[in-house]
Amino acid sequence: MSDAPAGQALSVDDVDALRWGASLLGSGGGGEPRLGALWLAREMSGGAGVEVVAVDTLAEGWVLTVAVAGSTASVGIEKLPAGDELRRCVTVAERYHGVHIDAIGVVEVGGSNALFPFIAAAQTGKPVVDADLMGRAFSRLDQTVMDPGPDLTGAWVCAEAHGAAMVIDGVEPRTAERVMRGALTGLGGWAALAYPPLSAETYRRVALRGTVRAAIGLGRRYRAGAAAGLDGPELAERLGAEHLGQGTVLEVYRYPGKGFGNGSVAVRTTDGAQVLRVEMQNEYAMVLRDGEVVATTPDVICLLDTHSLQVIQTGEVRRGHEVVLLALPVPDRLWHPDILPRVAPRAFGLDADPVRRTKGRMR
Amino acid sequence: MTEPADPLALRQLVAHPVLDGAEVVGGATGDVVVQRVRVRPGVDATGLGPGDLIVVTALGDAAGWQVEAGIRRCALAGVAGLVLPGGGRGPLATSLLLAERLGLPLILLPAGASAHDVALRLAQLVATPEVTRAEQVLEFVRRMRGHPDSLEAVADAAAKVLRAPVSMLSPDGALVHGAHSPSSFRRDLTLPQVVVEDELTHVVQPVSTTAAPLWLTAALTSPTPARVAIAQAVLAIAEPWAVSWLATQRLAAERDARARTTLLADLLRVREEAGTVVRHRAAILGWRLDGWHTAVYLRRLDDPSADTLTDRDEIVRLLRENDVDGPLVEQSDGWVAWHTASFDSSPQNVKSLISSIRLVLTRLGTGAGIAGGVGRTHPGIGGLARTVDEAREAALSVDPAVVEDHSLDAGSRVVHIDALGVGRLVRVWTRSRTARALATTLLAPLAEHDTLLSTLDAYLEHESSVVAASSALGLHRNTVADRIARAQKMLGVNLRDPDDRLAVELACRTLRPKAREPEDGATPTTG
Repeated sequence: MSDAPAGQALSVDDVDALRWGASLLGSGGGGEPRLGALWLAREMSGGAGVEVVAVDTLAEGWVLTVAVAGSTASVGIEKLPAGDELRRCVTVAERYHGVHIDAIGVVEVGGSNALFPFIAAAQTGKPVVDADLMGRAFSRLDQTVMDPGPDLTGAWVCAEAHGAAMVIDGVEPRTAERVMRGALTGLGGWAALAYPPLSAETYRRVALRGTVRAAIGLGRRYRAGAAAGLDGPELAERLGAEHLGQGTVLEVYRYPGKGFGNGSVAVRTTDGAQVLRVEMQNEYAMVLRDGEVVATTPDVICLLDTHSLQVIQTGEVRRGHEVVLLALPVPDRLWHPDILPRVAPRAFGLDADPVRRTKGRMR
Repeated sequence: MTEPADPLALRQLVAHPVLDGAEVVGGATGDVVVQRVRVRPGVDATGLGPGDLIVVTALGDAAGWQVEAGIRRCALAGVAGLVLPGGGRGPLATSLLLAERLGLPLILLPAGASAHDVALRLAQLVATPEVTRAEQVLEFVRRMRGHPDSLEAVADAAAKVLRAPVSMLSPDGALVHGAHSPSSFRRDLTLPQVVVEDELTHVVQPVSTTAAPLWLTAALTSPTPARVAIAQAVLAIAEPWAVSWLATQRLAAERDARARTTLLADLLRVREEAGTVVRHRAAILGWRLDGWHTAVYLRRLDDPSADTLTDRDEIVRLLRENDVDGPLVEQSDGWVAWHTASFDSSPQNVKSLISSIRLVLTRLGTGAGIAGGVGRTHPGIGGLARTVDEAREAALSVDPAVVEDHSLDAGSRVVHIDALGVGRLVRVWTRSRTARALATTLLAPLAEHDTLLSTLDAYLEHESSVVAASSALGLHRNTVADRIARAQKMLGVNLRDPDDRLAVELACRTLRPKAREPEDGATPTTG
């Protein structure tokens, strides 16, 4: 461990705030972060500390971005972790690549994968970089701010609960994902996953700065707002989000035989004057108001329970739910023409142009 | 060439069979006018506007968000309506709500309906109604191949083609088949008519065979003008089939009537000498020749040339109801019926038969103008001939004035042969056609000499007394004597000869109503 960058230690309260922030940034998908938060809190109660370092403090060395990959979002709940998958994943990666990993990177700061890098960090004593590669949750490995061709072609490492590890070398993210999904069905459904290691210089150049702390801040504001019993528009104001409307779910239509988490949510606004329709493709991907597209990816679209303000995931939304619809901004870089094609509606199979509702908003 | 089509309301298209089973949701169809039918693969209103009805043909799933976005664009473009293919789960609740709120009529085809076919049919309805009309007419002709079994079959075939109830009305407008008829239409005009009553439009087609036509009528619900035109065309095509069926029926009835009439004529001619051929023919018609026969003659007074076939069924029915169950045979001036029993009839039977016939005439109505005669009961084939003769004679004796006087009851129009006295016999004779022919021939020389004829008649009336006749006529007796001499000379008769006198007197009586005309209220002038 050469000249470890100095950073700020993560507090238990930060973990809780990160859980809520990650939940919002999951955009209805990405997995429920509660389990990861409990796991991390347990690691920390055992004495392990996690440092969060700013991306600029990375001088040299290697950053290993860590996540958990599963065949479905819920399999992590159905099959409990052994506890050392993440550490083994980092160890195998270090051994295979023959390098020392200096810091743990975050792939996506939304959903359950916002928490797992911290567990890996707590178990290995490495710091976590305050920058992620997605700025929210996406469902595919290639939907990052990095060019999936040259930057992310390399060796992908998986470690699963029973001790198996797997290296898929020399492939770009789409192939790695395809191989891994096939292999995971034979390996218990989910596994810890390490992206090919990135040099500190590369990570500093491409990663979205400050998104981890921003997610913690978002979670904190959300928690306070929910505790204060704010209504939809007030909460949106506090979160720097756009309030798209609120109403009752008339029906949820899940498209048959097309992947998972795909469908439509039909909402009539409380005043009955408008109809809202949310299209789901693993995440909430697009909102139509009276037939007009009013919000799309890469902005984050959240459905919250009108009364409890709890985040409602795509798999949970039901007819009769009373919901608030919010659009949360993402870092400007996701709207960059080089990156947009990987994260815009068409990447989700929705033949519509992206619509940016949150321009100029900060979270 | 296409004729300029009337603009159609979407409401009318929705009511058309082409859209059977389709579900109309979203905005009200109302009086939205459809001028063009546009086929689009998706919900796409590009370049379209008011008057355009969009039929979407290649929609994967109506629940898709593109439909909802399309509904908005279509509504903003102001198109007349949107037809979506069926199947799947249909549009999402928000799509329906949106269409409703934006006032865009949304028509969901039933599962399995081909959107392309529907689009083609709708386009034909809107743009080329004559093609649709021709198709329907062909369809009807295809169904009617061959001779129709019944009038109902014609109406039913038209109903199937038009997909609307088709009824038949009798000449007086009463329903004889089906359940729908206009409450009123011009029955006096033997012309196709269209009667609109609330949402039902009746298309009425006369089926003319005789003076009084039957009517075919189709009841259409809120039809397009094109559909009314189709119904008119199909019913007009149906008419000849109906006429052909009626004509065939008529032909069969005529043939049967002729068989009856000739058989009876043969029986009356040959009497007891009837051979096996005649008896065989009678057996075929179910006539019983042995036993005791009592004939009834029904004579038409109003118009002897009128059709004896038309009323046959009605008369047979009434006779059956009144226990006269023998054959009914058409005659030139009416019908003859008879009743056959195994024994001679009692006076009681005769009385009840007469009252039965009276009842029949009453039921036929005072306007029927029919006189009835009843013969005595006689046995065997010869007896049949005798009773028929007697019945005819009795019927001939009925004074037409009695029949024409509607204030008199029908009883006076039926006469039994036994009721005929001597005076009536003379009257019967003088009214007979034979007598009239003889009298006209005999008195022909005096045809141009009315004064001579009237003087001759008065002379004979007054027992060949010149004195009595001259005082009755107010003339000098020499004048009368002179006229009688001239008349005898011209006629070539000798009035002192009893035969000549009887013949001339009967002839004068026969022609009397005419011969005596000038005498009424005026003194005849000398020629």
